[in-house]
Amino acid sequence: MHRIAMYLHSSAFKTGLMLLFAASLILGVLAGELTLIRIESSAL
Amino acid sequence: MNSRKSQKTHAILRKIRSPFVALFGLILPNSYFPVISTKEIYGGPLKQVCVPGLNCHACPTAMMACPMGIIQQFAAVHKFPFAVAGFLGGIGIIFGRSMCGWLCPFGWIQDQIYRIKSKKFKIPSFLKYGKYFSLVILALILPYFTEAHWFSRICPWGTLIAGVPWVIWDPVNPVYALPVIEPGSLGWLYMMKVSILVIFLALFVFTSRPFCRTLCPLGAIYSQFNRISFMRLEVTGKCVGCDMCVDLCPVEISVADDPNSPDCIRCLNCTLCNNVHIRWGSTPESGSKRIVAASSKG
Repeated sequence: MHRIAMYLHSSAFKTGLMLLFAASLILGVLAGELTLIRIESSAL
Repeated sequence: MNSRKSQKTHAILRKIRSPFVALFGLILPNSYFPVISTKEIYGGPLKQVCVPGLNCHACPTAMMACPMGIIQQFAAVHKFPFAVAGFLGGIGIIFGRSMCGWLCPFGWIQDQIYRIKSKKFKIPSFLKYGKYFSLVILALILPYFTEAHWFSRICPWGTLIAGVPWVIWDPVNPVYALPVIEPGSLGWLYMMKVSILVIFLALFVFTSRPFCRTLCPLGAIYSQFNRISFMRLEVTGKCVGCDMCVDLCPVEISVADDPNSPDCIRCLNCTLCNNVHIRWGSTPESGSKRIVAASSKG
């Protein structure tokens, strides 16, 4: 348990997670996700 | 010397927080003023980019999108939002839940209304799970199965900056010479939204940040990163347990016991105490005064 906690707080884990999110962001943009974002009109 | 320097930095950060949120969270993402003549909301490329805090797409002057609106939209069309997940996750892993304290305009509004002098009440702690219900049920499951944006339908921030302004303004489209708000379109759903807004506005006077703590699905996402983010709060071993941090905390956390609680919005009010400070990077098992005290004893 302690080892898992240590790993979750390590720089390597955080950096890896950050790279994963960066890859997800780039993948989404390249896949054309931005064009799927339509104008939300449920205000009324 | 370092401690004094960090205290000075904290003092500056606390002073600039309010104008920072107002400018970057509220004014800049909502500065499409040509709407006054066109009577149509902005639909350009910036609208495809979301802000890190809540920001209703449908606000008359909105220039950028709301992350929760996008997440619901993707759930409704049965797709995973890779771009938004990467965006929110990246911010979360660096700053934790700081966006709630530093960029969300609705949180800022709550802080301003809470300043009104009145009797104050604490929120029962079990209600904090409401935000996870809001995320999973209203923003993911219901949109997935019904193709409707259920969280947006009840979002009080959306009602305040979009629903109410449009109805009060009630403009006529200059191109089609027709009213933008169709006559008779304000049904029970609109009345329900306004009622929820009124209830929350009243709650803001008596309790601190009730929406952030009980209903905000974006807060539920960011809160998962507080324990593992690069930006962390740390309590030194010199803490005497005076609970000054609890009194300063808008979300009533015992910072000395759990500085990286999922409920912490990183407003940095608690850094007014010399024994609480920000720490960047990996700090294995550091944080609470008990752990630091134990480790300092060897």
